[in-house]
Amino acid sequence: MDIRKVKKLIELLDESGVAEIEIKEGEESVRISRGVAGGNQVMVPQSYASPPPPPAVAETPTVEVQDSVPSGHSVNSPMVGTFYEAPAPGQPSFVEVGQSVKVGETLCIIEAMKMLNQIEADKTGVIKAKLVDNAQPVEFGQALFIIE
Amino acid sequence: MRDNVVLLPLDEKSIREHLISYGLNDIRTVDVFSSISSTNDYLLDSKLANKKIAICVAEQQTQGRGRYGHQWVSPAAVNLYLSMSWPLRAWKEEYEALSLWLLIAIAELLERQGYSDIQLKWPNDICVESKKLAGILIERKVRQTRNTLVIGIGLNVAMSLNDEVEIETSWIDLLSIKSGGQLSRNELAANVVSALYATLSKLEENRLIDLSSKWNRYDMLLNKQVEFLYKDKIESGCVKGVDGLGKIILYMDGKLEHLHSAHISEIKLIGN
Repeated sequence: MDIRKVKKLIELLDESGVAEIEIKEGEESVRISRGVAGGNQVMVPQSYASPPPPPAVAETPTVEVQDSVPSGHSVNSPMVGTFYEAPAPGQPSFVEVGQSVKVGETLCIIEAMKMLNQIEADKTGVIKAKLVDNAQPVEFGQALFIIE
Repeated sequence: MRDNVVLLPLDEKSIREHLISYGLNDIRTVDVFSSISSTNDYLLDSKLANKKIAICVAEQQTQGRGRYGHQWVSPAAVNLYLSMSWPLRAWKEEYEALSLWLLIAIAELLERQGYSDIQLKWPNDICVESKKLAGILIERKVRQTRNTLVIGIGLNVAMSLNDEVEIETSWIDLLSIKSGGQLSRNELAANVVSALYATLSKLEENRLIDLSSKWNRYDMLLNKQVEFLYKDKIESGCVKGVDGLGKIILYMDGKLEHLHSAHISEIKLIGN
């Protein structure tokens, strides 16, 4: 992917207030997300059809991204388990970044020892960040979402 | 022989009578459906089931679920699909091993009913001859104020009577294990509830001990070579039972590892 294109995408992201965008072109894809609490991850190239990977991407937008680390109420994992963002594979996520949620609304499922734990929002607000990728293991107390 | 098998429909009154005869008088709600999306979903969405012990059984599930995202094939009128809600007073670490304790309880129940060679496959299946007989799926709503468990059991009773069932994994039913056995699904439902009830009560009172040796008695994978998915890679090892919190113990790369279900999946026996 052309580096200028990547730069454009970053500017677009900054202007829009969207937390994350993913662009696919043929077999290449790049996901750009704003850094979140404690994360210095700016861009995560997802896969490369062929080397070389997009060069120098990490250098570009650091300053603004650091400023936009979301603060707010953190929803933490009550247990060790596997994080699932949707009720079943292929189904839409329970919540998306930018969406409003009410207390009691299901945010995700943590599977622990084959017990599926529906984690509900304990605060009404807007989902500012989703901090874990689907189907990843999470530890006790790990932050899952930021609600503001 | 099979032509003579008559399965009576699931019946609320009959299940209730059995429950009362077992002394389970505090289960007020027994909901019976001819067809429902999922008995677990029904109780998860029920206001009453969030506060009281409630039972839901169905002749058929149109969206029966097993482990995350996996379908539990639920043809009509030949099996048992049963869910029970259980409001928790407080969450304890011991509940992590709940699915194992409940599977042991059902294995013991089936043995008492004359079904032999019952096997348990970590962490949520009951098998006979390494074929799936039953599965358990526990779901929980995690709230600040209240925690409710919903325990779902799918038990193959007489699925072999239905010629049209297509399931990828190999399965078996009670009818094939012991023909001529008494196959009242209403009595079976009450028996399963009774087994779940007793186990949950004991767990709350800290009266369940020695998970490892109880599990090992039925462990289908014990001392077997298995393949599994671990940290996104296929690995192999030898199963050495479970620990007191229900983690599987595997001998791999020259040492024993205690693994939580979040870190290991898709366990398969190698060869035979």
